[in-house]
Amino acid sequence: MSERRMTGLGARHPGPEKALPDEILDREIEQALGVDPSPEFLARVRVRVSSDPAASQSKWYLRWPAAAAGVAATALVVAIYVGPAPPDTSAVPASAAPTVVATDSSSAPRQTADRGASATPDAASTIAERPARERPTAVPAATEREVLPRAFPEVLLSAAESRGFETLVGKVQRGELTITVDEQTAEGVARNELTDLFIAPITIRPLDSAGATEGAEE
Amino acid sequence: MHERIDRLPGSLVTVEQDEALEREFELRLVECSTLAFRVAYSVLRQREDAEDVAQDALTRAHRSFRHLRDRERFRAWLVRVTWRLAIDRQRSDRRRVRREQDVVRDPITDPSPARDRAALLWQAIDALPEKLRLVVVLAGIEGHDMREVSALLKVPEGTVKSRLHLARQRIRERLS
Repeated sequence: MSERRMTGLGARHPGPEKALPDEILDREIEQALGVDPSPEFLARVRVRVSSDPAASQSKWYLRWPAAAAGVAATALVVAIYVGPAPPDTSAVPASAAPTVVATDSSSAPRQTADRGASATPDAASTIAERPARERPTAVPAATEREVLPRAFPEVLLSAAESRGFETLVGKVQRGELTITVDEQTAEGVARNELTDLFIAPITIRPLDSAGATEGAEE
Repeated sequence: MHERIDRLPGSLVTVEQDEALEREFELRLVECSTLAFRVAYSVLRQREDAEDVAQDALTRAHRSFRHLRDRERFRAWLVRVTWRLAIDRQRSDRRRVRREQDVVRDPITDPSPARDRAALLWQAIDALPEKLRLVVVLAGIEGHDMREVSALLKVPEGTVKSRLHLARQRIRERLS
């Protein structure tokens, strides 16, 4: 009687095999399962959870503002240093400095990137085309082409020209050489109107006739 | 019913919310760590192995806690994952066979005639099909009633009742 009251569900299906009441069976199972983890188990779980790399990766969206700021800063830096050249490059500021790419004239293909005076790409015309923020660069090999930003035209000079130009710039920088430009030339450079250099023919006269002339003139 | 936080594009989850999540997880951890351990122990019956598996399951729960904040959802998820991990471990670990055949060596079991009784009981439980075994185990852990087992397994209460009845019958047969 008491057994039936205890068994609940089992009471509806009494059978010969039912030697064990449900409650007793349940209690036995509970006792078998009533094992507690070790005292340090919880601490170990905490340590493992806190050091779980996958969990920190899954929180990537928590750091997206910082990542976005980083991307924006990078884009800004790139825009400043590698941005397109200003469209009007006719005026040459006083601080303008050329970028010189030295190439081996025998192996490297000739490339005249000069926009205005492409007929004769001499040093003066290419210098005038350079924007102000470029810094002087002396490169010994033709591989420099990959490093230069594409927005600026390349200037190709032979190695000898490059060395000569570097010597010139070095002397000017050290104050060993002073370059004076007359107003007309300066204006022409400023307007990017480069004309052919005209040098008057030099006439050499014999000294004797000169002396006679001097005497005559006096 | 279940609280769910979707990751909407561009949604800003603040650090405060994250800390709140961690606090919630700590509460769940304290509440459910023994449950996870016992579920694992019911399969493996080695304290160290059961702790390893429970740790695994709780670590996974932490990773997915954003979707498991609801208490019932968390417990059900934890039971299922722990059970599955324990079964996988049992299958992959060949040495486990030897341990199962000799429960006497288990230091947790009492060194008494009750030990043999417990060994028989475990053999009877192990002989059950997985669905019946899980119901018996969950009903035997922390005094879960039918409704709680039903919630943990996400099956109707009637199914739990019938499975439990069938499981008891089979255990009884083996013990007798």
